[in-house]
Amino acid sequence: MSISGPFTAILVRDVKVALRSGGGWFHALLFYGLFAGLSALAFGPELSALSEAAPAVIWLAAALAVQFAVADIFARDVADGFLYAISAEEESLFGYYAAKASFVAAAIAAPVVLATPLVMAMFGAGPGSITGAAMLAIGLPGLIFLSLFTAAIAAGLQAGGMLAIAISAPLVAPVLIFGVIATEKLLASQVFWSPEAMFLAALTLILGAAMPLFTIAALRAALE
Amino acid sequence: MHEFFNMGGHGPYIWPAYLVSLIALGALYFSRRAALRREEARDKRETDA
Amino acid sequence: MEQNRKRVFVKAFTEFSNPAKFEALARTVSPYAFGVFLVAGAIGLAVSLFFSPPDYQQGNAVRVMYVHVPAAWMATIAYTFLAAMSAIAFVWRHNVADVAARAAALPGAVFTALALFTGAIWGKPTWGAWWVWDARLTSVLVLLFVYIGYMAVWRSMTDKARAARFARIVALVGFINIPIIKFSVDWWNSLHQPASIIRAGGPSVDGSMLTPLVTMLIAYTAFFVWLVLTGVRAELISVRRDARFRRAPRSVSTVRTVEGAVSDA
Repeated sequence: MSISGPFTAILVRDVKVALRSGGGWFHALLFYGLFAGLSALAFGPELSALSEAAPAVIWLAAALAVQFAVADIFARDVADGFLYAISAEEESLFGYYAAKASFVAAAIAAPVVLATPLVMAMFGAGPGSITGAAMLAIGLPGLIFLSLFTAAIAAGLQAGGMLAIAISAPLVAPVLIFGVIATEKLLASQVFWSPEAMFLAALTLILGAAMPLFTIAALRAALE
Repeated sequence: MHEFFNMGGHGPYIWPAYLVSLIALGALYFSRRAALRREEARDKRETDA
Repeated sequence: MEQNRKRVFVKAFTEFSNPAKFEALARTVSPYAFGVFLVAGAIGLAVSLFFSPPDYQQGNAVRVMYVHVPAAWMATIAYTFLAAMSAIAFVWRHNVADVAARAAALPGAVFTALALFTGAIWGKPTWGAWWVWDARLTSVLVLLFVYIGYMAVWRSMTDKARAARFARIVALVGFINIPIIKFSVDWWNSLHQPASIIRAGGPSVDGSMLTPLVTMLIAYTAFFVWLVLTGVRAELISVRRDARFRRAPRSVSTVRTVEGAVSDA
């Protein structure tokens, strides 16, 4: 029982749908840019205020962008019966999950990370812009796992994504907190592997280990 | 007596803390008890009827 | 010997999973739990307010500790209980465990809110601030949201069996918050005081203060037990009524089982 069978098929399907839908996957990047831009306006023209706010704005924008873009990723497949078909054919939903996670990482999260140096530079982060993006790249997978969990709950709840986001918000909080502190330390003292950065990496690993199980359980519950 | 109520100046902190705790726990108690009584009454009505 | 112990455990486990037997057990135990609460609560209140000394640093403000710490303690205990019950329900599809978890949710949320409220009141005269965003306070606030989210899942759909499946998962995922609360004050330099009761060297709180504290802890715990037992009893009666009204059973034996279990009790 290999995951490569359904994995590639589902991944290809998602990519085709994304391309056909004319850039729905683009929304995360769009939200990210808009949030950052509006924050810059809100904070005012003083570069010192902006560069102080940069880590917080980046992380908040990225976390929300990924959450919102991923929110309905499973609901669609539940609604049109695709998930049901997969669960009937395959013993384990892990291949489906892996395909979805890969798609989100490549099409939704990667653009955000790639755009980060530019956004940080506009916030006056200077040479820290590149390493700041690397720090985001460490924490973002954790947020991807969380967003997928949120999406699975949202697919089952039908009352909506907002409750699902509220449910996973408590877990997003630690990632945000550590991500911001790690980035602040990085920008202030050029130390990449601060204790907070290490904790952030640990969080991503823990979430990667734990969340798939719960997400798949939630998907099965959504199918009932 | 007044000294006890005043608690060395900390009265306005201590009494609200204790009172709100008492009220909150009381509310839990009464609502749970009422819910149980309600269910038992309905159950009794339906099995006796 | 080992076989016997295992048999006893399995028997106890199945007793608990049988709604009728659990109802009978709950009915017996709950007056005692309430009795313990009344006695410990009365003694605890008296000692907290009258018979204990003011702190040499905080003065009388320390008395808030005797309602704050038990509330905070129960907030985490209640959630641990809720998560444990959810885990049992998740693995064994144990309906009574689901009901027990749900019964613990509102009490837990109230304890959490009380902990935050009394904590703020204690913080003002002792630290000078009603609230700070330090690790422990923030994670307890997060716990309150986790409780609310959990309750919202149950209320979000009328099919309670389906709701149960999501509620279990949400409860388990939220459990990560508990170790964060426990250890946050040790991991970070934090305004909130570090562990002073359950720590390696034994309690660092003075005996004259430990007494009212422990008494109130016992009172709050007993009260929580009563709340959960009473909540479960009410819910099991309600479930029984629902089953009775579904007069089109998929099999006759289902109805007979329920009625039979009731008359056995």
